[in-house]
Amino acid sequence: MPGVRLDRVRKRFGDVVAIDDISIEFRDGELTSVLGPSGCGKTTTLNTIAGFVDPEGGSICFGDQLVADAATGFAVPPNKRNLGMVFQSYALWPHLSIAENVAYGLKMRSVPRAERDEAVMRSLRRVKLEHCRDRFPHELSGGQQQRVALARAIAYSPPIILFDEPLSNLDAQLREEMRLELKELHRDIGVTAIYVTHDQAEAMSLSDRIVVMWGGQILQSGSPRELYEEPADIRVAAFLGRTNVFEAHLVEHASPRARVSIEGFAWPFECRATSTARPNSAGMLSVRPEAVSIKPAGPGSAGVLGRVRSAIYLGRVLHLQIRLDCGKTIEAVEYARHTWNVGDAVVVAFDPDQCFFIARSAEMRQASL
Amino acid sequence: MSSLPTASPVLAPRITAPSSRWIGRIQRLDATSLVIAASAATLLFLVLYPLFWLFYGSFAYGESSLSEVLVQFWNLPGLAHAFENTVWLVFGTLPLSFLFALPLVWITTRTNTPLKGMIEIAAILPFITPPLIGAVAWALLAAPRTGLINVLAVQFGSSTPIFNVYSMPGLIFVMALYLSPFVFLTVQAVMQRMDASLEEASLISGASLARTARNIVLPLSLPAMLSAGILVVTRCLEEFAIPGILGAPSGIYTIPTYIYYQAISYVPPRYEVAALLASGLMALTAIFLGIQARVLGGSRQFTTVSGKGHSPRVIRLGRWKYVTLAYALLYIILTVVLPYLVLIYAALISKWGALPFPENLTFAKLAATFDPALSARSGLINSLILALSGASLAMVLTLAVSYAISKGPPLVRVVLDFVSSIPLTMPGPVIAVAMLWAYLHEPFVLYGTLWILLVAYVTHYLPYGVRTIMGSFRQLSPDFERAAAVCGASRLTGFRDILLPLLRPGMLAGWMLMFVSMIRELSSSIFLFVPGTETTAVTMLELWQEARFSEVAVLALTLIALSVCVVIVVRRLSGPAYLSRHQ
Repeated sequence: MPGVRLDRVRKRFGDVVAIDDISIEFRDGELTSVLGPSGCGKTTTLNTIAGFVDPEGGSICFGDQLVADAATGFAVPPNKRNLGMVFQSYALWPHLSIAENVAYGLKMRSVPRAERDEAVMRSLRRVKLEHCRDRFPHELSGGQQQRVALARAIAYSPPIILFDEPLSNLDAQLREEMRLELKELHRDIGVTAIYVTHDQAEAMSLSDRIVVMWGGQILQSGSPRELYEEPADIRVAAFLGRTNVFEAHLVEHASPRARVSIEGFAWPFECRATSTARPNSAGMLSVRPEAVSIKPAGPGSAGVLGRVRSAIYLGRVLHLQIRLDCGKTIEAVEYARHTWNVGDAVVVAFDPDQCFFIARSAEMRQASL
Repeated sequence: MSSLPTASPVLAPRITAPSSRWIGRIQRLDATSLVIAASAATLLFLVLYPLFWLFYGSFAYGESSLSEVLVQFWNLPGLAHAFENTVWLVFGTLPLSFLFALPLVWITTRTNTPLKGMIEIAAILPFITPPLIGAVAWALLAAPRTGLINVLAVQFGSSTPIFNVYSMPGLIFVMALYLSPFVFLTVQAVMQRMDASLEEASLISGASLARTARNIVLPLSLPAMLSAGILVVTRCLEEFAIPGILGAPSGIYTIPTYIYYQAISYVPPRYEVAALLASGLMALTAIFLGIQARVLGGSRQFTTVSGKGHSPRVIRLGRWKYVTLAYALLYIILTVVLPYLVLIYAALISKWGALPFPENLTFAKLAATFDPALSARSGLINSLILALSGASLAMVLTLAVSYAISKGPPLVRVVLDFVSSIPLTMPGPVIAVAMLWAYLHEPFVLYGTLWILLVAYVTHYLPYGVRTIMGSFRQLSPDFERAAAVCGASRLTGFRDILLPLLRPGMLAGWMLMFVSMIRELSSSIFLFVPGTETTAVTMLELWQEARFSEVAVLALTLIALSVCVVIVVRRLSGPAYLSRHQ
């Protein structure tokens, strides 16, 4: 299976820079998510890979095969790129039956009739819809249509499959089911998959790797765990789950642990830090809500003091907002064992393993990459 | 940061690509691009070439200077009258058409009048009747001496005809009857979909029904009314058949009929006068359409039609509902029942004015109408040829142009969109005058053949086709085509397999609209025909001038029957409904 490489790809729409000089490799056989808020350029990136949009600068290769090169104006048209794609709108052709929809790519490849029928049935079976083969798209539910779109994309065994927010039109429960199915499917067929989404939970649960995009640029790429635990940029930390951000200074750094000072607090906090961070560098401390532990304030208790500002009971967990005595409000999540009331005085502590210091220099370096 | 970025820069050697940008571009040209380019060129030629000649003819023809032409122009006999008549026609028809239509809108959207559904359908029925046939029918009914109403009146002892349709009031009356369905449809669409909570909010705030109507309903429906008003005005300006049939016998000319009778059929023809008048008419139409576009564009700020909400409240009329029913029935009798009855009477009666007893009825006229000696048979054949080939050609062109507009580069879009809407500002007589100038002269001499009619029809109805197809295109998600491309289909294959079937309902509707419009076309055909290339409508006008009432009636009914058949067949063909309302 070939990987997909983008080398210094640029694209503008009028005055808006959609993709700003990005270089990235989507490794073969992996499922890589491109994650970012709407308007970050992730869909444009996908469209340049598919060939719907020609880059203004840079080149795109599938394996060793050059498919687009802005310098020479060379571009392989989408129909010659041998891709599969699942669209956000599913784009099932309403005038063709399910079987005809799935068979279309095979027909374009002049696969003989018998073999074609076999492949259609195989893909439909793969998405558990073989009983729907003679129906029409409008007769299926949204979830079923989604599966047909998937079956159509895999029917002719393309080595690369593109996913454009394929689950965003499904309801929450169905979405979670489909995530699992998609992951399983990817493991089975082992293609290079590029998956565009704005849903961080989806990206986390599905991907071998995640690329976080922002404003047409790549902030960071890596495995879900790397991105969550060692964000290179405070925006990555904020986008992948919720986090509390403190302005901080690195006091000392003894890898993997470090100590930072936060304005308004007398003593330094223990945390982890990027290996490149130097003592005295300024930056941000990201404290995940689940890193915050809370105890009732007793007489003589030491630590960060604060008061409960709101407590939202969500069944399994409790969402808390705590106003610290220094004036800052932070979020905390804990298993809903204890009942807190608004106004309760509490002592707050941070788990050093889930606090991460991001030096500002690193952040700047990443942003300009 | 612990790990290396996986976004590793691309270092591997590249496969060599073509060396020049241009070679790359040219390699990517495919059959689709060529089709688009060819159709765009055809469109530009069809519209701009005659337009050039029209302006050239208006301002630069002959030895005399523009000021001399204008002086001559001013002194033309009857022109001032024609202007005056046109103004009268516009300002008479405008209020009268609203007077006919608005009560019907109210009856069908806000009251519990019985047979509402039937009234709603019947109110649109006059649409099927082309103005030419409506005018003929009313002339048969109310011509001063021969009209059935007046014949009956005289038999019952009246000394003078009670209603003379060959007069300005008669013209206005028939014009308003014919145009009222347009007003009805435009206003009714808004009233029907107006969110009832808007009115209820006013009533709850303490306003009376009348005040609510004045303060809420009227302002909200104003854009629609204004738009309908502009439609009425432009139709009055360009209408040929009604003033041609009803006005010309008593010397009442409007601008279009003046262009025909006093400029084109004048000996020798005054082509430059026709060109100048046609240019003026075009400018006027363009101004009105511009206003209409602004009104409609601006009205989007009002969210009267939210798609949500419930249907408007219904006023219980009690006994008064029979009065409203009577009004609706009277309207239907005037617009549909009487005209069709008189046409059937004229087609079957053996002696004009005789009572319709079986012994006075005959089918002889049906056969006689299509006697080879008369031009009715060849006229009908010509019309069929023109409508079939014209609608099909226009549809193919429309499809290619619409594709170019929706998929082409920005500049192409803007230019094609603009050029393809130019014919909207060119009513039939204007198109015809432009065609005469363009295709009487070298290098494209088409005058005297059916070709000039075909070209005129295609040019005239192109914008309507483009609008229909563009509407269908906009409904189609670009993902349909992209999905086909990803599956391996070239643009042409994707177009054939995916877009074409999905556009079919829109195309059939567009084709039907064009066919029905072309088969009844009069206002440009009358300028462009020569003996041998008459169309049905032209034949009807000729036969009418020879006072062959029954032949005219037979032709009229044939036209209507043909149109209805085509509509039914096309509806059958347009396939399952879900195709036209996906996404």
